[in-house]
Amino acid sequence: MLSKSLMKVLRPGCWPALLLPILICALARSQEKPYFVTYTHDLEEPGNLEIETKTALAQPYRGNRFGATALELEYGLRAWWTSELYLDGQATGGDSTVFTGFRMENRLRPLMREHAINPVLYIEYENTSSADKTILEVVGHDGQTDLAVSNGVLRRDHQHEAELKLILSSNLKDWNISENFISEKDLSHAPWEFGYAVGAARPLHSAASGRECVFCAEKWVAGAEGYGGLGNTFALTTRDTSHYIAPLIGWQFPKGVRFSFSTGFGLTTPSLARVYRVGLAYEFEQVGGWFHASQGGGQ
Amino acid sequence: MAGALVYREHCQQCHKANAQGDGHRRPALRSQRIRSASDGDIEWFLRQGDLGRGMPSWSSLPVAQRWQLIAYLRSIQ
Repeated sequence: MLSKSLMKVLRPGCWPALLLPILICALARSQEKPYFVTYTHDLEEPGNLEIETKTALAQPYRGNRFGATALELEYGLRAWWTSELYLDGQATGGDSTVFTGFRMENRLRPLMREHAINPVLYIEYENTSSADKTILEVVGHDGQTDLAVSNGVLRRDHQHEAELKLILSSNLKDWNISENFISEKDLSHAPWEFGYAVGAARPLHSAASGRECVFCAEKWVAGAEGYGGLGNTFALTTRDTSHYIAPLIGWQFPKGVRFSFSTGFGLTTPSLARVYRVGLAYEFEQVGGWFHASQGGGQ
Repeated sequence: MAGALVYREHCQQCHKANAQGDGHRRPALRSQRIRSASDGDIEWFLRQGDLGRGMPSWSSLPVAQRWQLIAYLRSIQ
């Protein structure tokens, strides 16, 4: 059952942003972890294209409620190299709905074998306005006051940023444990900003049941992630920035749609009190093969 | 058989429904190489993958499902 505060955020204006991905994602499959901010070392399978939406719903103190969605197109170029394009937008109650920009990222696994801790290098270019509210990472001194300003003002400030992440991830028994170290730089004039994300998740049941089922336990993954800012090169600190802890749940639909949900709880004054996140993913298998019929996509 | 479902969900897209692969970079899984490998060898390879040759690591699959998959691979030899 949805809590009162979630229902308050989910006003009629926000529903289209949530329902559209559901309509688009009629069929799909994937077996990734249901994190929203934390990355694992699991890359997209070569030749596969995953379309995913990540929607954040929140209301800053003395600000209007908003819903921000990132549409993510993720393609497995190689087993060790995944490339992604994000298209971001948001709708703020009593204000406007705006497209806020795009991001391009690449994730590379430098080690070809599985280890106790598996590093992944993440390189991203962002071209977004300050109106972006998808909160796909928290860096520097990010806080809810940044999200309470009107879209008209925020859109005037456009950012070209580079983001580097070191992803460390382990699959231990049935658990996934991941740690991300984030550094972000506005390419014009700002200092490096830093942040972190950590997550742990595991399926509710390990063994497959051997029958097609909708609600069986192996279709569910539960866990939690924590993320926040670490200041910048002038003040490397965990103070005066946002920190969140977010229990999360993922559900693999029978025909492959992956659904995930989390409620993030703000731990510090600059943090939003709550951030509700909804994710939906659909994976198109062997898209590369559509163009290279004889080989079935690149390896 | 539970392993058949795991195979269909995670392996079939590359190795095909008949486990014969594409005869090119996605090898057949009904092969002498699989028959002669021990269960432990196959489990190790599933967990490791071979990223350089396009085989993803399946360490993210629950341990029990990897073993169910191995049981299925044995059954189709």
